[in-house]
Amino acid sequence: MTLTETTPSVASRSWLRPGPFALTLPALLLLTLLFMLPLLRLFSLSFAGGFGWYEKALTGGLYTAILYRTFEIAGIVTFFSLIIGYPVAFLLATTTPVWRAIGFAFVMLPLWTSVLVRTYAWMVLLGRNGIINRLLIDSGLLEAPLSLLNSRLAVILGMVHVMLPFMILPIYSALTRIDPDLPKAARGLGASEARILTTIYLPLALRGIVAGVTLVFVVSLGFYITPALLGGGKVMMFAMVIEQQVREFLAWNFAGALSVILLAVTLLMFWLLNQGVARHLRD
Amino acid sequence: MSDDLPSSPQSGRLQVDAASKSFGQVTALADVSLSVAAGEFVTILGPSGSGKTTLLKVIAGFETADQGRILIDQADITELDPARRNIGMVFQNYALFPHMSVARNVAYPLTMRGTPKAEIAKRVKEALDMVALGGLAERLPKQLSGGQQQRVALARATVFQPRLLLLDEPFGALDRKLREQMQIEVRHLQRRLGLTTLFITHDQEEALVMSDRIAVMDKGRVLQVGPPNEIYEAPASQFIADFIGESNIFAGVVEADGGNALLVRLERGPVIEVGRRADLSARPGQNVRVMVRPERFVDLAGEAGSARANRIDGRVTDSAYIGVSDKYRVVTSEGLDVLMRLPSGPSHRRYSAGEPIAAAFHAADARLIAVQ
Repeated sequence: MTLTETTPSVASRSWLRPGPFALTLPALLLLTLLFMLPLLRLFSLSFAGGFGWYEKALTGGLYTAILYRTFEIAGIVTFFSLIIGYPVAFLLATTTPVWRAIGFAFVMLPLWTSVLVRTYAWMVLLGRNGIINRLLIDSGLLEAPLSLLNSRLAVILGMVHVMLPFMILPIYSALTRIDPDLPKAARGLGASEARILTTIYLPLALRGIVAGVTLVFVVSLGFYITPALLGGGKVMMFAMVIEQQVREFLAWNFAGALSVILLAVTLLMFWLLNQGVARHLRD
Repeated sequence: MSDDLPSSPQSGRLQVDAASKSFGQVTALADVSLSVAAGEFVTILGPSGSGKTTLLKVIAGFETADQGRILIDQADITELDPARRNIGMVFQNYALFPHMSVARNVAYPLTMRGTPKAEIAKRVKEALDMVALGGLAERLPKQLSGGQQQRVALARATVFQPRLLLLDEPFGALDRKLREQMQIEVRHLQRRLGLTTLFITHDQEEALVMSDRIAVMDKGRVLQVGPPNEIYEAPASQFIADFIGESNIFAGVVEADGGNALLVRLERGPVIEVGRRADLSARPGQNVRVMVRPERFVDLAGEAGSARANRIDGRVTDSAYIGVSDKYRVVTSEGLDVLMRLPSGPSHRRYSAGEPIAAAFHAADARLIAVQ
């Protein structure tokens, strides 16, 4: 009763007080100045002279092929992040507090290390004279070193490594919200470990899984440093093409068009993934 | 792989054979033995930390006993996977699957057993009708009230015709009215299905109302097993007398053996007659403890000078109106502290604090509970 009576009057005056919106103003200002305005500028540049730049980007096959490859790599990276990340998240969610703390240290450590450092570490590992080739040759398993570096494999390895925490954390958070009695109840009702996973853990952790998949996939689409260094120029991703256009050819208009295409496709993917979840959760 | 789960239509006989379980230094179960006959409703009653939940988990298979065996119908299930034990369990918080509809929750154990779809639909409907939830099959658990969730949990735990039903304090979250209603419903369902049932509670009233037999546990041990009236009237120890209902425990010395009754001089108070016990003998000179339930006192207001045995004369120090009775704390001139419950209502006299009172109890209502 009292609630319904007081709520309107509070609401009617709320615009006078600094609400949540006012608190976000500094961040909003920063985003507008440093991100939205340049983006708009890029957007308008890309339309200089009509759709010409878009036509160039979307015909001829070269750039669409790179876009396709970017999707492919992002997809593979997401897949492996999920395959590796889910069991880790599951262990973290179900183990004792001590092991959880240790596990978390290992998950978070890469996050606190610069991407550059991590990428160079992979170069040390994968190089022709790197640790892996050394071990294989010294143990007599190989005659000549494998060219691990500057390959798609190296790019995917490096990207999975960088993205793994972004997959693990949301899944972990979803798993810890599952009542520990549920898997027990399922067990007592006759479910095997595999059925408990498919009927209890997976559906209940779905939000976390989709959040992780979306995050990893979308961030992977725009990856630059790791593929540039570990791919050695042989593995082109879309962000690298954009950078090339700007830095080497000063082709701002074309780079703008490519950027808008990447952004549009990324937003589309984001929307599709969220739609999928929304539909599933409604069922 | 789940197709060949056992599914016996008949409820089984449970036997817990000298089960022990420790968690580090803490002993949760100490040599617990208990048997429950087919179709029987047995309650495990104990304070929190008494080991009753551990016992339930060991039977369900969520914990493994360090020692001892669990048998159902003579078959040893001590090492059996919980998924294959065919035991229905209702958890304290119901543990309904939040992402599944009521119907899918109830169907779950049947789905896991590979029951044909048509039969699942039929049995789920029967189970839901039995708990009067037929119209709510497509709801999600969070759209149901506490009592309805409880019923879903019950339907899910019984739909696959388990050999044993375990109930872990299932009424804890319900308000009193609903709780009493569910107590009756559960008992009806259990009788109709002929289900062997082990029920866990710390609520002694609930235990008395529902059970065929009660097993009282404390500190990991089973202290006494018996029908409710036996547990209430003839508690085996002071702990049980204290834990179940209200009680007066008087210390005294046996003065004489009067044939039908013992004459006991209370430490602070008069000499009283105490009914003899076949299984516990006390000789003159021995220290004993005697229990008298507060509601066994009879007001002597009408017979002021009566020389009845087991008469307590004292002064009321506290009085409380409970509704069904009046509750008094009475202190005798010797300093004996006595709790009494006398009938309330217009036809009975009410005493207030400070007033003198005289009340008596029958020798048979005085129970010898310890001899030193």
